Amino acid sequence: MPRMRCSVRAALLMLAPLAAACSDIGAPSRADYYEWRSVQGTDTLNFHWPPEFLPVRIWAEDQFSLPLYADSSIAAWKRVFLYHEWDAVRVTDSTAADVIVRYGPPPAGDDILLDRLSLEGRAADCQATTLPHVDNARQVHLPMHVYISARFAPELPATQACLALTLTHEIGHTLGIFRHSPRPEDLMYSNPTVAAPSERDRNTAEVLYHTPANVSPAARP
Amino acid sequence: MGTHLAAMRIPLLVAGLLAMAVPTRLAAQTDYYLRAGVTGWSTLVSDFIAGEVSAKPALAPSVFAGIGHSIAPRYRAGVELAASSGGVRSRYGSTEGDLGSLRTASALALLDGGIAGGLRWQAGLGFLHYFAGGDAGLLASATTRLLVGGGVDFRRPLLSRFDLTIAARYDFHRFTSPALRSHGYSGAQGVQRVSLSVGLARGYR
Repeated sequence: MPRMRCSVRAALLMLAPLAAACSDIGAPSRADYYEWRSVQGTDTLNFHWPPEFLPVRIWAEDQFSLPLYADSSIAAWKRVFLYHEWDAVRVTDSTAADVIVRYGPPPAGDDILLDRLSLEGRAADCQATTLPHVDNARQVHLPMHVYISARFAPELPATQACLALTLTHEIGHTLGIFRHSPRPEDLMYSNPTVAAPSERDRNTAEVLYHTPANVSPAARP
Repeated sequence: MGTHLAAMRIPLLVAGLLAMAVPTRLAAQTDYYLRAGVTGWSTLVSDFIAGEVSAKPALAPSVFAGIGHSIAPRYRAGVELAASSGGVRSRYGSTEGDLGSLRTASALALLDGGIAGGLRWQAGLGFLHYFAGGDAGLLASATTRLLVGGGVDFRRPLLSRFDLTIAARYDFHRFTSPALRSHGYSGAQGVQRVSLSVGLARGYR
């Protein structure tokens, strides 16, 4: 009898971890996010890069450390995604790029665009504009263009920091966040002051990539 | 799977060197073995982001090396080292993504007993180490988890000094990672693995 009791105890001990193995991880609530979709008239544009376009190829003009800031921007946004929903690499050939980052103001006029969506990020010492050209067929023309420039001397440390965070903000637009956060503590606030995506930016980007898109990228150039 | 087999070259080499390093004049009560096989995994993470999300490792080539010593007429104690390398896929909605490669190494302290004929059972406790994989994602950083496992193996004389050994293993651990914790995940996911392997054993008959 004692031997049987011992066997039952041993069997229960072996089964206990089996039961524990069935439990799931506790996922965080991602309810705290902001509206990322752009409303154009009566149309709501929801864009994200489909898996076959990953990694997104980003080219940055070799001016005032923009390639360096592009690398850190890519790294900051990659950390947001647990399941590789978005990925990007910096390329050295602008003709092979999906996103082109240039130093300077955006060109005037939009004569070749059916629709033009302008997303501006403004920090204290610099400014930028991202132009995802969305046409009536709900296609984003590639490459997307990002224009970034300093208000004052671009070589000043404060301006450099501004260029870095503003570029991270603009890369946030290129990945599909077509609107600004209403909260100043988020990177995607219209006048950003934080250098990296906040928890709310992260929630927004994650929900965006798990919501079916109605805008897709056009064929690569 | 070819790339993961290539990634197994170093664990295979280490296991082979370990086997060669064991003195040929081992005591009769000591045995050692080397096996190769595949490991199947249950889901690594079940998540919800506007819909169900899961990450599941693919069938992974694995190598096992172990040594055991008699501690009683019917029982042996030993250590088993294992390494595996395979891919991980994510799935959400209609999208299936590649999360890169998953490389693990484990060490299990095993208790081993006879059942009948060449059939033996094993049960043990140890650690499973996940190597860092890539610069982002849920496996970006290395992590080590407690591992509990067991199984059976069957031996049959093959050569004058070697036995053919076939083993089935089951183990489980609770998975989480630094990336998951930094994203606010709590607790851990119970992960179960099953492996089948075949190899050579020497020293105990």
